[in-house]
Amino acid sequence: MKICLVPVGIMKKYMKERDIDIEADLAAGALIERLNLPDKLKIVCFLNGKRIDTSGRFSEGDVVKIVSTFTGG
Amino acid sequence: MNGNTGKIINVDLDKGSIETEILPEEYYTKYIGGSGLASKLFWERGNFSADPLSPEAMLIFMNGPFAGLKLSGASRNSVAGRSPLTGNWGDSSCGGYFAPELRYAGYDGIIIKGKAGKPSMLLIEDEKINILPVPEYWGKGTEEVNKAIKDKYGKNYRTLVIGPAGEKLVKYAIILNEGHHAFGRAGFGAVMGSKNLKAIVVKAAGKKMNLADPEKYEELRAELNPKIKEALASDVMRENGTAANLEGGVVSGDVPIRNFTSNYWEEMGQELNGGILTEKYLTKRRACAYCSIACKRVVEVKEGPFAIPEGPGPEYETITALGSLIGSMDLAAVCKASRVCNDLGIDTISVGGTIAWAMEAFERGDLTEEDAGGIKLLWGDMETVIDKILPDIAARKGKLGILLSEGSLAAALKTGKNSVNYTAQSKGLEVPMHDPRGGGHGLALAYAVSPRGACHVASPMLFMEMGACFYPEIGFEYELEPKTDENKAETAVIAVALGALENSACFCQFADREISIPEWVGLFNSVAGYNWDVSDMMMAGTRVFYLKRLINHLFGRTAKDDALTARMLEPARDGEPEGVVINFEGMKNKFYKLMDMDPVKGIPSLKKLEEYGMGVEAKKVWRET
Repeated sequence: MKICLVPVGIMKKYMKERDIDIEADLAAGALIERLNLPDKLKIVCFLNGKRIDTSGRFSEGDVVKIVSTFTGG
Repeated sequence: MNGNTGKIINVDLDKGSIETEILPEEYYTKYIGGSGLASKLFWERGNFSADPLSPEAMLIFMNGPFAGLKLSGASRNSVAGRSPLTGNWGDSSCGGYFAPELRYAGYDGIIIKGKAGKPSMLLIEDEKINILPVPEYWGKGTEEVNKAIKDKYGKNYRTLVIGPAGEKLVKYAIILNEGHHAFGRAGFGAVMGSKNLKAIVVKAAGKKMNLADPEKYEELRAELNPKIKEALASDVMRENGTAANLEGGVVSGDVPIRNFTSNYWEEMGQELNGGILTEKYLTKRRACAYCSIACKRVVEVKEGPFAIPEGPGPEYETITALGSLIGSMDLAAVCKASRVCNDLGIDTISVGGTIAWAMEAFERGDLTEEDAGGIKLLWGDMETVIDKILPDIAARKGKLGILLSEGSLAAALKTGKNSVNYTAQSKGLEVPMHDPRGGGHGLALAYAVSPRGACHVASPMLFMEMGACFYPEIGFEYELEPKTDENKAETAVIAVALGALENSACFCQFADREISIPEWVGLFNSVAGYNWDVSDMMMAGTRVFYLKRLINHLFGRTAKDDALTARMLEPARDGEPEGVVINFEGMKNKFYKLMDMDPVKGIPSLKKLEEYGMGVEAKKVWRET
């Protein structure tokens, strides 16, 4: 199935917004690993405005925001 | 003595006297330096009944052991004493260039008491130390005074300057180094102003240093500097500053909006962030002394109503406090408001929090146009903020300027109508720009138990919750789920000790996230020769935290003061954390048990204090009962 990945904030430096095909049972944690991004970015996925944990799943057509937990102070 | 110089300067402005003093080595081994050593000196010598703006009040500047040793992030300085904003223990940390120069001149710190008869400047040139009259600087902005000092003495004379707000005793006035780096929090600019002290200037002829194990230190430095420079977080901040990922913070609900009434404003996140600042207004990147991160911004707004010439730019806290928190997503306006605050000498976090409270009070009708001296307080009205509110606060002029110059808690108490409920502060210090409901529930606990009040740099809890650092040697090797209370009290026990270490060593939290616990121990031992193991070092951190708690106890603070307001604990209204409630009391109770702190007094037990080598201090606080 197809979902859309939307990088937010500093993630725009590391990836572009794009549609990808994934297996129906792919978990969010596995998706993040598949993106092959630096571990230090501490990436989390947001779906419909809510953070989903690494075991969360997706549906056809989902728009998934890819966010790093990095923050300044 | 190794590492530290062991020497401080005692200044009595009443008498016009200046004396140097060698401190006992035990002060350093037990309380390190920076805000930790300052707390020890305040404990020993402070007048606990003195008003913080009276001549009797102590103003303490203190270096850490690594100042000037060419290690990234390690050359900060602390200012400390009783905060005029909160009435509690206060300390504030500043990067920039003052700490190395003071060390090279041969001193770890300065203690200032009394009040000069006329506007004065303290000038330190190695052993030559003078109090000079500077009436010509009084009433002038920090930018002009900083430039005047550099023009007169030379660009390498390092400056600490207060603005008009400090002179007028605005409770959250700042002290600015080199016109760019701020001792921002807790109002020590007002303490300087109360002493008629406009500036402190230092210049050293050489570099006097003595290390316990120079070879080992060089080995560590050679490993750590590249590690810090090449870290992903450093790269991100070098490119786009500390606000690089503000947009990500908006999505997760960490960024406060309109006085913490909202946790989501998508368009704002796309406009107010470090990337846009770089693209539109950045002219140069700057660094604190010896730091390879270079997160400081220099900006210019070339045209429009908020045009400003090239100069210091805003960081994450300022972009949020003078942006989303007061309902604005105009980055040019934020740049100008930030510049105005710097020049007037005002803390951007506290002033943003106080204005945000006033805007909500106005919207609710708790604060009328008449109460505000004819000023309409409207969300996002940056012209009024910049042209009227900030100057009036700094001058303590007009009904609104006078009211808001005291900070949000005092303003709300005066206003009544339960408006304290929607202040965002703890112990009177305005909450920084990370909302625990979205950023991480442990941060709520960290804000509340911080001795100086709501503070995001009193501990690294924020970074620990986001997974930016792990310390297996001291038991922190687990991932945290930010929006729960799980393991937060246990983590806070570690975090308060680490935070006290950082602020006593005067290290930058961005740089030291890359330093492991064994490396920390190695740094202390190679520089100061403490011969510590991990346990000794962590005990020193916790000891500093405990001592600041004891100081607050003598100011009359109790466990009840470790609190957050209703605003901070109500369920978030929107965004990712919508509806989530923080189990604050549960975390606090557990933290108290783990720290063996009395649930009423808010201080450690007699037994615990003795265990930490604080038997003498314990007798002072426990003999009352």
